[in-house]
Amino acid sequence: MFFWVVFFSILGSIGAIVIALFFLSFGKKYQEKLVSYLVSFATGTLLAAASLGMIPTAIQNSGNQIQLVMAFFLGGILFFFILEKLVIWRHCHNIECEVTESATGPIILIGDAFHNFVDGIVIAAAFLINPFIGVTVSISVIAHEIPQEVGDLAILIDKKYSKKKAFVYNSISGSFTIPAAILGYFVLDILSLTIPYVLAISASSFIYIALSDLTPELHKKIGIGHTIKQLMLIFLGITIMVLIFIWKSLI
Amino acid sequence: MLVWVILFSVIGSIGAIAAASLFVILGERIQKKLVTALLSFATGTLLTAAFIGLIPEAIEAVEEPHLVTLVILGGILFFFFLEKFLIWRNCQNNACEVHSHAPGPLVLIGDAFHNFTDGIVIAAAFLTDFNIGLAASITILMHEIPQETGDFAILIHNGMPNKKAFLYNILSSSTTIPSAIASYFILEIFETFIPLFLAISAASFIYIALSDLTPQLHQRTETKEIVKQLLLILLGITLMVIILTVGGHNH
Repeated sequence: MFFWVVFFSILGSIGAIVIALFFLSFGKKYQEKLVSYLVSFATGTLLAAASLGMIPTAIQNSGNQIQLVMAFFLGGILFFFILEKLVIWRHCHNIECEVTESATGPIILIGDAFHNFVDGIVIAAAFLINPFIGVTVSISVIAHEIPQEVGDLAILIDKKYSKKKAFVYNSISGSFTIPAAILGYFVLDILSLTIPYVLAISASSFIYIALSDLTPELHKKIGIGHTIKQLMLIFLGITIMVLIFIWKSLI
Repeated sequence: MLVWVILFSVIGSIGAIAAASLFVILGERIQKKLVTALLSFATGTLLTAAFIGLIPEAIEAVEEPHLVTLVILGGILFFFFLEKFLIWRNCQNNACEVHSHAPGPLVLIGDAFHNFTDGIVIAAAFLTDFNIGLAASITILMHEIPQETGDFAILIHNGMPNKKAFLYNILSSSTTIPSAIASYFILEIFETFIPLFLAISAASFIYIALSDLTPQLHQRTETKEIVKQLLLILLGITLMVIILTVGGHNH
């Protein structure tokens, strides 16, 4: 299991940045399209991984402490609300985003490092509870990290960082996922009673990102064509998650 | 219990309009302050009513967390879809892009549909438990007041005279009442479905709080405003926790 935790934490951090860099090498038109597709897809995976995987599993593994698990979930939502407020940790996926426009390079990198640190703990907790939850969580992390890192790289380059410097700095802040996942794995392995509650807080971060950050962006585009595309990609994300859960129940 | 359902569906619709008209009369400066304060407070009550009240209640009744969370996911997608198509946008400030383009009839139809849903929520919640009903009703009232204030502002902005705006808004809002009464009798027969309606209600509360209200709260970044927002959210949470736990309904 430890191998997969390390593997997916590398994929969810450095992997996402490499793919993001690849996106940036395309023209602006393709890049914008790919990013907006991924935002829809990530919304589906985040919502499904949290609601169909993490929350019910957390409840079952806590010995049916429903209200306690949900209280941690509510606490998590508040925590991410405050964090977004204070660190200007804003998931801006388009370049013209207001808040990040005024954000300086270091703030972007610090926010990214913190966010990826959280991702690492989420991956570790998910794999410790069961590998299927681990895989769904990892896919969700990668799917929302790629557009996130595209945005971060675009801002850094916009702030007159060279492409190489932006990549190196972003890789350093992004790689916080890996030590966090390793540390999370060993600490949570000992404190296994806390895993359902850590999972509940992780689920709240997924729901918060999907609803407060990504959904308002999806709603900026109105019109039938965009709506159908968005819905299909959201359903694609959900379907992949559901297939993994079905696979689990067949074993 | 029917008395409570009727009483709170009247308060949640006509009561909210009365409060909103008072806000309109008070003048723009005071109105803005009150609406902003209510948005924060409503965010706290919506999230707590959903996570600590409705969801645990639904899971306990069904004894299967997966089914409940699946309905919540479906509910969130439904509201996403609805918001896209009906431009059912909970815009509480006058400067809102989508709403200011929305013609009067669309605002009223959206309002009528939204309040129809509120009626179902009130009925399902009271049929479950008095405290759950009370928590859901207060939550609905708190987010209806800023909602209706926004609707008034749009109707008047579109050139409708105050009196006409008031009458039309009362008409569209009062759909809460027949919907609550009808739902009460229907759900009393199909009792097994009540937990699933609680789950859909929770989905609507979560969607409104995170996708509609939170981005509005994040538009303000001054320290004083952040402290105010957090205090009001915590006040909303505290009120809900008191209603849900002190009422003798212990888990």
